Amino acid sequence: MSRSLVTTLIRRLLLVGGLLTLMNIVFVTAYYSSDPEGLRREKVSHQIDRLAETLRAGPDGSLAFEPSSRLMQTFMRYPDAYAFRIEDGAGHVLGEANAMLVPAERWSVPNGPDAWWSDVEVNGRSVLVGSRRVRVGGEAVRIAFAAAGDPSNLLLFVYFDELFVHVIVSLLPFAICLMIVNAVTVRHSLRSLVHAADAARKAGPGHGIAALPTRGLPTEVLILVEAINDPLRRLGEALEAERAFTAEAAHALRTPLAVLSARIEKLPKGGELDAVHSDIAALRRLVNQLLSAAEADTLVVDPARQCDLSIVAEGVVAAMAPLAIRDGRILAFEARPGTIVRGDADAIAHALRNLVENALRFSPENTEVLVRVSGPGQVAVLDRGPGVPDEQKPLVMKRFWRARPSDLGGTGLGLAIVQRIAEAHGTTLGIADREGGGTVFSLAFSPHRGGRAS
Amino acid sequence: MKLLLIEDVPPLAQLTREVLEAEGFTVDHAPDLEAARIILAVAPPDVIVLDLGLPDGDGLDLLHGLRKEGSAIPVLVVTARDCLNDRIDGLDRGADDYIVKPVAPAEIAARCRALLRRPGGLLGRKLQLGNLAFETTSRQVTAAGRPVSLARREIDVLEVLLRKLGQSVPRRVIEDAIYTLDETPGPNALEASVSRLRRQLAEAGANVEIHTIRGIGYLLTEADRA
Repeated sequence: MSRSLVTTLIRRLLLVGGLLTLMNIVFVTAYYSSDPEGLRREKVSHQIDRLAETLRAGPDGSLAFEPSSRLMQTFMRYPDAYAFRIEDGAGHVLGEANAMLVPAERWSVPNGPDAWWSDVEVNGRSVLVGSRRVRVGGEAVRIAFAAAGDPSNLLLFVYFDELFVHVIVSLLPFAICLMIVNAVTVRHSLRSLVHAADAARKAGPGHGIAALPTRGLPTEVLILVEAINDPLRRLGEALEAERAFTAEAAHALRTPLAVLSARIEKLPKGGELDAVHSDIAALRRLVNQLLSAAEADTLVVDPARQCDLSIVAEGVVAAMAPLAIRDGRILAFEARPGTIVRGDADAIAHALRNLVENALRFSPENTEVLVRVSGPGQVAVLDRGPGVPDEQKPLVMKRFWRARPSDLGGTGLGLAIVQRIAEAHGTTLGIADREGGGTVFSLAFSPHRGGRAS
Repeated sequence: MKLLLIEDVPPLAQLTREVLEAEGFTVDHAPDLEAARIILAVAPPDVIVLDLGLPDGDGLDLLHGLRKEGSAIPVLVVTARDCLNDRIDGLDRGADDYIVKPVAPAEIAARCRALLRRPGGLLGRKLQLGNLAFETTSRQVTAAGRPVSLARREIDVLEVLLRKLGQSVPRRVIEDAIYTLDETPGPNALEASVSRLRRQLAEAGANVEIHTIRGIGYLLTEADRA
């Protein structure tokens, strides 16, 4: 299964971005694990910051301690692990919790340094005490925090906090920008490749073999396209040579055939000569059909061409009715007017002629062959012949396949030519059983919306 | 009837000429464009059979020049050219009919007669099919030599069908030919005329048949199919 190059590239770049983020996380983790003391101090500092945020300056300038219940929860749950104490400049306690964890004299150092840390031995336990002077609303406040152990994993919070600052905040916007730029750049760089692929796709059946456009391609792709163009060109030339040979061979056969035909016509009629006449007619048909097949093989329909399907079909029926009457068959036409389709009028007429000839050949005498133009761009030839058995339906469009090999009148090329002309119009020849016996051969051309045929 | 045959392949020219002469045409033969131009200047024919691929140029150029000079001589183009697109080109350039090689010379003769049967053509005065004859000047119809009395409308229909002998004639072509602009024919008026014409021709013993091509129009043939 093939995957889009754009998708692959973008996916890989995303992967690289993800890996870089992961490496960053590993790096931050390693950095902090190498300095556990620093992290512990950071924990204290973090808690002091949280406590400082709960202080509000009242209208009279006095400070009030208004902790959230979430903040207090930690202290209430672990009374012998965490404690704090907040004092204003005059040494009045604004708020405290579990203050007995640390002896009173260790809490307060009013004139000490702005910030300090200290490990204190209390009842055989090591307690980390940190204190910092902060200013809230113009008032100097000292906030102290103490922790004995870390049952609430405050250290982890500090770690994640660091991670947030160093990874998410600093790296994420950069990563998002990088991804967008990546996607845009990848798409933009590959656009010329997509155009070349589109051009190659358009050169499918019915469009002939054309070299892929090389304009605006980056060098790396240009080398590939040129490498493909060379055999494409040679293939096109070979196809054209083959078609030209068939066409020229058939063409060259015509004049001697015309001479032969004229010579025989001079001989008295009757007997063996009638058989020779019909043999020559069969040969003439074969030569004409070979030439048509060669023409149809290289038929390229200009997408701008359009014609009125019912007028084309009417012309074919009118032209072939004398032949049908001569052979004792009935040819009829049904149509809705104004059925403009995209397509080449001559080629469509040629396809219909072949379908009608085929239907007339296989119809019993005095039965009707009906050409019907219906629906948007639909034309069908309906006969009352023996029908085409299901197992033969895929075969009838093969070149030189004939339902009755003994019948020299048929060339086995007619339906192959029709199918080829249909392909050049982006459609296929439909073969279905007709209700009440016989066969329906149908072609569905794409209707032209708006406007009249030129 | 004088016919100019422009064909460069000698045996084909010879054989075609013999058949055409046997069919009653007086045939001048030109193997190339130069000879054709000389014959056209000294002895203008009634009909031209033109092969397109000639040693000294394209037959279509001659045709184009002829039409530019205002010549209305009917031209039947016979060619070995391909069938998908050339046909339209030839008809656009002023050919009256078009036939693709290889073709039986008898077919060429039949097509030439059809061209001459057109209004203004040399055979346009007396139209004939089987034992049926139509004198266009007196508008007299005879079957096996005996006059057939027909109404004007039926005679008009018969003339159109006779002039397009062997071809399908779309019903709107017949309607355009037989009704004046003031007349608004009923939906089944033409069917009624054709049906009367069929009956009267049969009563008169004419060995012709008017075939209906459903959805298209009518076609006149000899009743006794050979």
